[in-house]
Amino acid sequence: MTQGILQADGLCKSYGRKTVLENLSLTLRPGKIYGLVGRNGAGKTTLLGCLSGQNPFQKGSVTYDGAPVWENQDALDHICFSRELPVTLMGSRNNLKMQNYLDAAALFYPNWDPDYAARLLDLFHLEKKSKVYALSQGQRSMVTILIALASRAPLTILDEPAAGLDVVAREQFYRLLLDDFAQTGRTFVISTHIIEEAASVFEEVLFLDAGKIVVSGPVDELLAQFYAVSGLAEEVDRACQGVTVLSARTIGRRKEAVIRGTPAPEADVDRSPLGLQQVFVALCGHGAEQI
Amino acid sequence: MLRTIRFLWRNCSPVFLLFAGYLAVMMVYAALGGGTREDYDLLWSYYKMSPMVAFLLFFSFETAAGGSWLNLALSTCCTRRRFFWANQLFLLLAALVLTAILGLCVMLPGWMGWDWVVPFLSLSELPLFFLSTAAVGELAHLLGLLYPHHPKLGILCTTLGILLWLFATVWNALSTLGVFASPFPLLSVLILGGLSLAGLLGSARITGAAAVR
Amino acid sequence: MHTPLGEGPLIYQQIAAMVEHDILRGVYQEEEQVPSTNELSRLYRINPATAGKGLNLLAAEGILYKRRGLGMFVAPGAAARIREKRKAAFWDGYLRPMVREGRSLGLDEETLLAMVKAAMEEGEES
Repeated sequence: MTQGILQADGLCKSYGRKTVLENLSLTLRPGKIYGLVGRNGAGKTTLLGCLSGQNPFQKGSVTYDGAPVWENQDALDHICFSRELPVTLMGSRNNLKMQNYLDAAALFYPNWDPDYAARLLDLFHLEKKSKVYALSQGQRSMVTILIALASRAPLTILDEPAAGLDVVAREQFYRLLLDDFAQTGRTFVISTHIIEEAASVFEEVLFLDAGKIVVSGPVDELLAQFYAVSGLAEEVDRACQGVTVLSARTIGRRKEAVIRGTPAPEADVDRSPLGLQQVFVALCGHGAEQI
Repeated sequence: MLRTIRFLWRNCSPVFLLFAGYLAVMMVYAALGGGTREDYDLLWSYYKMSPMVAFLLFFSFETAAGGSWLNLALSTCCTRRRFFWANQLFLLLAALVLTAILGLCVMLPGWMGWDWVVPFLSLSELPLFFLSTAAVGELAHLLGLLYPHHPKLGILCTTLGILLWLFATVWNALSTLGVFASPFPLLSVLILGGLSLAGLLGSARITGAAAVR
Repeated sequence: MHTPLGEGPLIYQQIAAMVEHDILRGVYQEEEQVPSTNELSRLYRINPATAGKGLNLLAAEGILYKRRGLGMFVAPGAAARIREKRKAAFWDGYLRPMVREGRSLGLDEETLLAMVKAAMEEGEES
């Protein structure tokens, strides 16, 4: 009886001498929408490729319901990893038609829903016969979203689906995703670097930084741990007693700090919760040069 | 497995149909009085070249299979093993079918009583043709797999493929002079068999570690 | 409900507060069904589990109750319970900040109390 738990343990992946994933472990439980958040180049696509058996890795294991995912068709039949369509293929422009990708998806995904796919094609105003190189980035994103949703795979992974879309299309995508989830309850993993607007869609979030998962868990539990405090410098210091200070800025007598933990209640400071994006920047924005 | 073969067929059926059309045109040409040894009209060289066109067809779709269709299949969560064996099976079947079709085209003038027609291939050469097609296919597939990662090695394989094609052309010329009496000249079989095996093993190795781009 | 989280409490708390507010305003009467998690999800473009957490919070406080297979309903006496809860929070949520603000503005006790009285009279006139 499948439960649908995807487990990665000690995952190590490097390209040549460059280590992308280092001793990475995570657990994805069924029936949730996960957000995978990370900076550009953090290795989100690589990680997702390894989780879905599409990219090999050097060390560690990835299992679905206890069985390894690599080269395991039974496990892979439950997984869909929809990536961005390549603009170039074998050195020249991608002459394949959208139809080719849709046909391949229809053939290989056991749960493919052709009616759903047709409805989405209509909704996105896409032409099946268009060649991939002629599509705009937004249209290519829409095709990957279409394939992911219509695959009806129990574990569906989308790699930066919002990246090529304008704000209206992004809103449309979030609504489609939530509707699908409300209907099917299947597991979704969405990787993104557009964090704040997507935060309300995720039930749990994973931060990928420096090759490891530095944070994983329900979004509201995470956000409840962080505060931004501001006020007189001495008061802010009082508020920060015994908690982890992630960043602090002093302008004259005023100090602002981002802390992890509850600020001391007697301190006379303004305290406010942080959004997911701010938490991410506070935790993973290290090394960003102040211009 | 069946799904994967359907996938391969769908992607290369246009080329096969094109070739079928080509052969149909050649048969019409033969029926209308072409295909004689003394003919040097426009279509005669195309008629004589028919087996070579088959090689080209094989070359083009097996390169594509390695270069882009493998990637497409893997990106829809197909396993490497499944794709590899489906491709091998498809290659084998396609080579057999092509050999059979060409064999039919060779025998057709005889059945229809067009005795002015010189067949572009002799029946005894069909097994060798089958082996050549297989070798071309295997090498082309390897080339397709190598090209994205090692363009230089890919070029080496292209050269080998072209050499094979030239060899086949030369052999074909020799055969019309009756040089090959037996259907399985040992040297040719060894070379073609060896090339096929090399292609197959190379493809297996690369496919087994393929990452989706 | 597209307020960025930075400006208010967590989403599930906002959902709970909103439903409470609607109950007080009479939008949902006792024994009436409140929107399902899927409806809330669609309305506010949030994860259904988050919406569910907000509703469960109210259920834990006895403001809503669950009918198996049907959804969440307004419990009898919910409005009264909400008012009680808010009265208890009035001290921390409104009074204390008001006094602190008044102090930081330099208002003395007399002035502050006079202002409170004036505001109450104004409220009665309207």
